[in-house]
Amino acid sequence: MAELVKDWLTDYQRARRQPADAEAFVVEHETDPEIAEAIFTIFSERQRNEDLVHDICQQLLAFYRAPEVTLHKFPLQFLPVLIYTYLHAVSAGDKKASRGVETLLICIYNGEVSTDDGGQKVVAFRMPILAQASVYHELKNLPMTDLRRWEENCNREVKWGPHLRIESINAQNRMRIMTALLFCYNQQVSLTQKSSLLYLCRVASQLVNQGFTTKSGHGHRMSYGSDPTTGTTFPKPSAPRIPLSASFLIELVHAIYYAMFNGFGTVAIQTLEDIHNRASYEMFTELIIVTNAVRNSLHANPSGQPNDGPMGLSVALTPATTTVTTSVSKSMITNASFRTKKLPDDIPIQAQDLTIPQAPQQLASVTEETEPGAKESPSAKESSSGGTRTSIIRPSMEGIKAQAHKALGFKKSKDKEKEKEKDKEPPKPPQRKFDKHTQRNSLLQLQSDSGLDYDKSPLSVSKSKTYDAVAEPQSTDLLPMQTLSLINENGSNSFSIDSDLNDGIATLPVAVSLNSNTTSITSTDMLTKSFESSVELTPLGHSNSNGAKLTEHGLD
Amino acid sequence: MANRTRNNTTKVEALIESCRSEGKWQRVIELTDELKTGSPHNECLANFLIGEARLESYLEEHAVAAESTFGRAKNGLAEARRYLNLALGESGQKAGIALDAYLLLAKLCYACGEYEQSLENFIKAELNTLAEKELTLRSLKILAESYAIKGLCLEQQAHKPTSKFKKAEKDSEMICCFERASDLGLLYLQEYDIVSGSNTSSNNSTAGSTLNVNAGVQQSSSSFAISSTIPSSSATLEVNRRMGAILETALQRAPIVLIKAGKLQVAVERYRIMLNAIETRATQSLRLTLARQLAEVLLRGVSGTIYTPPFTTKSGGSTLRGGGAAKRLWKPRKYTARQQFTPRNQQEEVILLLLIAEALAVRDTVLSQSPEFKQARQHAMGNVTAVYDLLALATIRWGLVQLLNESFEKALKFSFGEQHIWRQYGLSLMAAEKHAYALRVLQESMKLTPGDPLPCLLASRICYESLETVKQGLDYAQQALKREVKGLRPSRSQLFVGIGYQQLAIQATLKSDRDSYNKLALEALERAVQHDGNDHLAEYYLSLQYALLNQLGEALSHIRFALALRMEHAPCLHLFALLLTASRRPREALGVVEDALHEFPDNLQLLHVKAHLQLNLEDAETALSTVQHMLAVWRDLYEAQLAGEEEKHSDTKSGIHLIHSSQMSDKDSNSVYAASLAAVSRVEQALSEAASSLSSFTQRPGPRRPWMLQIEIWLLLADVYMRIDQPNEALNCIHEATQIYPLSHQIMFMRGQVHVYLEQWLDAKQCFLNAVAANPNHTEALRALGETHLILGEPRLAEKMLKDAAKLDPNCPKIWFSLGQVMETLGDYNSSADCFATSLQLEPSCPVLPFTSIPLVFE
Repeated sequence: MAELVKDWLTDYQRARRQPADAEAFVVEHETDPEIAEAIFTIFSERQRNEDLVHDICQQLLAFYRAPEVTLHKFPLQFLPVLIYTYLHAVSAGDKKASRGVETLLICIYNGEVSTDDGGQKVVAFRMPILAQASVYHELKNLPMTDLRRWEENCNREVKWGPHLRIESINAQNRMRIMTALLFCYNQQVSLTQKSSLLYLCRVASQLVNQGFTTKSGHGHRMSYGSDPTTGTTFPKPSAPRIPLSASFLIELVHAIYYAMFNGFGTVAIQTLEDIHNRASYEMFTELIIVTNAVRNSLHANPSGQPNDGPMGLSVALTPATTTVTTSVSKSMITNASFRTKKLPDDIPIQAQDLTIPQAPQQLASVTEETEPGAKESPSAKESSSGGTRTSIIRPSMEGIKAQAHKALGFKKSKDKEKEKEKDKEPPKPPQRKFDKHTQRNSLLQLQSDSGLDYDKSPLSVSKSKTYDAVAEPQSTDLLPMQTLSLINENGSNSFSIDSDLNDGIATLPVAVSLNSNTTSITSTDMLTKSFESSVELTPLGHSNSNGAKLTEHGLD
Repeated sequence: MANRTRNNTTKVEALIESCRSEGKWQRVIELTDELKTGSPHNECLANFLIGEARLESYLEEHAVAAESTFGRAKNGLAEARRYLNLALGESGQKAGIALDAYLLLAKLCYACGEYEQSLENFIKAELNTLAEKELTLRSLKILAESYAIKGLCLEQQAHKPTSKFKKAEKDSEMICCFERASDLGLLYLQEYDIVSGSNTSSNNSTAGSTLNVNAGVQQSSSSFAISSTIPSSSATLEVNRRMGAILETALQRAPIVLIKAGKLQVAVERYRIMLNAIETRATQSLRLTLARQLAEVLLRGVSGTIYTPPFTTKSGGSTLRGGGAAKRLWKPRKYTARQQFTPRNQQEEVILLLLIAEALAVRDTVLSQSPEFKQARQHAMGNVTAVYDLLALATIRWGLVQLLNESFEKALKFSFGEQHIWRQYGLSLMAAEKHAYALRVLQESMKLTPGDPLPCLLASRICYESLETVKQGLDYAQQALKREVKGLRPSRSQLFVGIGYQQLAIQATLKSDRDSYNKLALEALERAVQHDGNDHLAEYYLSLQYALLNQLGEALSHIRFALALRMEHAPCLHLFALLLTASRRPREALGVVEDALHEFPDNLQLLHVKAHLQLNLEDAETALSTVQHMLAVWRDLYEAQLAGEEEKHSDTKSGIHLIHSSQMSDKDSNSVYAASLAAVSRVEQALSEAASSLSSFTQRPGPRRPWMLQIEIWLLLADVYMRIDQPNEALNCIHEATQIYPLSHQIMFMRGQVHVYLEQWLDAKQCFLNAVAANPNHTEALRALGETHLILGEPRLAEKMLKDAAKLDPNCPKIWFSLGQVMETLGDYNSSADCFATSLQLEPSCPVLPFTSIPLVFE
């Protein structure tokens, strides 16, 4: 190896003296893969070849300054090795030995942070946002919440650089410089020889593992409690840990990630584990996020393993429908099914939809209500059933609040209604049945009152709870207005006012039949009202009818 | 291609055609019987239709192309094959259905695993020579599938071509097939959407697949779902019916084949073309996969320099497609909008793709927790975590933690019990410096991974570093220690326990508490050092513990260990310098600090120590220049940051750190009196809130920390000016500090010092009283107040103040000295002698600045 490198050194020296040879050298150099291999070997055995390392560094520097592009790019592939060599020497307190490497690194750094005309290089990109249509998506098919997301970053630029040129490396700027160098390496990594990736992985493991071997380190501990004046000689640990920064290691993970999917899966995965361990040890949060992400993507994940195919890509078919039967899939709640799912009528949702054993609790609350004369009984029942739902569906509080807001209008009248009922008729045995359908009844009121009493806001706490419970399976993180616009946007499948009314009619007889005569009159009253309000307020009152509609889904 | 609507436009045929395009094969068979009876000369067409119907309905029920199913498929498809063969004859040629029959036969062969035969059928059908023209929906699908099948057959063909040239030829033919299949497939799905969209009378044959809203008045009695966006699972049914596994495979296979052939750029271009096609109902999940895969390709295989932005050249992409305007008929429609965002570089494209993929993946996540949905839930969860993982990889590098944060926040809705999501969320909150939130999330993460100490350790660190709830932090550290069974990082947990006890000891005001905490801290730190002999941090804290216990010898030896383990560690060097001053070696200390400043030129704490040392060595002039340098450094470090901060506040509600994080971390380690005096800073916070309500005072923009640092510098400068007998300059400095924040007890104390210098005792007393009122634990102010009381002839009050001070800081010789003086004045000579003796004893081991002035460090 050493011979090969020596020849390479002398060849270039000769070529430089004679311009005619220079071209030949460049061509020859480009086609010769062995020399890089040899240099890597020399670096890994640098203790034995210190002079040679120095010469190599000088030659690489000459290459870096050479006008020929292939020569200019050649030293970049050694960056990880050079960085390791340098950091190792520094951590061992052997800065003098690493002067050659240090100079080379400084020169490459200064070269890489500058543009060709001497300015400062900046790598910048615009932050993409979903709110702007792109070549890959249209606005109409994405939910509003996604579109609005990150909106404020419209055309925000994210930058790397500008970096100042440096004259020397000290402890303060060291990691920053190494990070920048590694960033440049990553920019070029697909141009380097594949074999250099193997050295990258090895070197990366050494960087993060050095000083962490369990066996070392206890030898010099014998001098505990000894007099400090005598304890002046400190047997140094053979290889101290190398201080590293989170951003440096993040760049390193990117390099490793590239290696992982370009032929060095096994080695790279091991290296990643090493980096992850170091990250956890140092508690670099950002780095742990990245290593966690990559590790997680490696097992049981559609992203695939490095050896699954080229770059870990494979065909990921939609799972066959045989696994999910139609009846099951219908009752499944997905994120998309919020606000859109019309749940079946008259069947208690708990029994059909959610098989979590909450039923006993609910029954208990029902029996409680049968106590005659309890004024709050309907709301108690509703809120308790709401409670069970809350535990099952876990709605977001925001959504509930938004819905509750909307509901402000009709609480009071509903209360009154209840009281009227109570006044007129003594509590009856079929209270249970009645309660079961108060919800429906209240819906009719919702439809009518929302158009009329919208301004009246006072409401009892228990009532608002009721409504929360009712409203919750719908859209969670949408504001009311957003809900509205979404439903409109979704075009042909959205709920029309017509169907709302149809539903109203359809459900009406049930309510009437179960309530006393007096209430049935009010109900019909309200039905006409609901017609009026919906028809009149078509442009404005759309949200109202939608709101009522939403409630109904929740109820059923 | 056959033209089936040629002349015979009978009602039945139209019906059959519509049933074919909708895939109602049972109905087709029924109708075909009618057709046969209606016009017997349609025998051939009928055969074809029956064969087709049988084939398709068989394939709908059985998965395609699994090795084990070939035998069964052969049996099940025998009849279909017979019918199709019947349709091939001369009459078939005449009727124009022979081509379709061949294509279907090829599909049949493929399903039976007879790849060679399948290819032969394609040759007979002359698939390669077809001209582009308008096609019916069904024909479009047949053609798309045919190309797909041909590609798949070529890929799986048993015998490999011998020559290199042949292989290349075969490869290119295969790639061409897949590309055409993907174009035609997408076109078919787009056409399907248009047809089904306009055709409102399409019946709801299967429950759950209905699309029509205005179906009936009595909807409420039925139990189907009306959906505006497609709910995932019922969608999959539809998707499979419309697209089918063969097409889906081909669509995904096309770019993969290209990558395999080494044509990375072409593959990327293929992905782009597919994603650029207008989406349809059926392609939702496909688009998710494609967007994710393109992002993966860009992240895994394309580095910055070889990247080419999409759609820059019109002719870009496959060379195999060839020219010809007529070809456009067989291309899917593309997104066209004005002011489209077109990525210009790799980062833009990756992040855009991932944002889209995230939106798609999140939509299909399953919230139902009941067991029968487990599989669906896990599948959706897998899809969405894959996107999150890639998003993490792509964004963290650029400091865009905020973006990640928002994603995870949204994900919580469907991530019940998903430890990965919770942990990532907690970490991202921590990285975004939302400490209190992060703690909450980490608590959940602890529950989800009961065996892992990491979340506990992180929580502990948040408590120590940011929330200043040391007790709580200690609890977490102990929890972490309990979880250490594998022994990967026991030293870290142990160290954190030690730090917690140490901080508690520093904060304790009762002597008994302090002693017991100190003992526990020492034990814990000793154990930490034993666990991990290579950990400089453990050594550093152990040394600090000894220093706090006034055992300077031990402290010095351990700080040397620490420095041997890591030579360039600013806090270690800082402590080392202080320890040297406490051993009466101030010149050496100055040397250490100066060397350290070589490596850390912008470290304000080291500069602070340096200035104090210079002051102590009666070199006030150089101290002055040091402090001036500190001000310059402060400006370099923070002015840009604060300006940036202001900008952020003005145009966005949530800022992101655009500065690369390494640059940030340099600065954040700078704080002269940081977290170690928890009580103090809380008082300051309260006062600053009070101050902001004053009308004359306007809060400086940006975070408080840099401004507090500037106050420190001004006060130090004031100190220096007093030493060189320029009290007016000192007052100016104090004025500057007051501008920033008027109610700091340190400013009050320093103003008192100036009054002392000017011998304005009553004013001085008032200032010190203010300082003590603002912070009753400020020992320097207490001492100064005591001394002032003494001079004003109030020895009893002086005694009280000094005793309080001594209780808080028993290691300060100055307090004992003053106390001695007071006792002397009071005539209590025994106590006085004791005090002076204590002072004498303590004096040699007193550092120039308290050891607690070094901020907490975790790296």
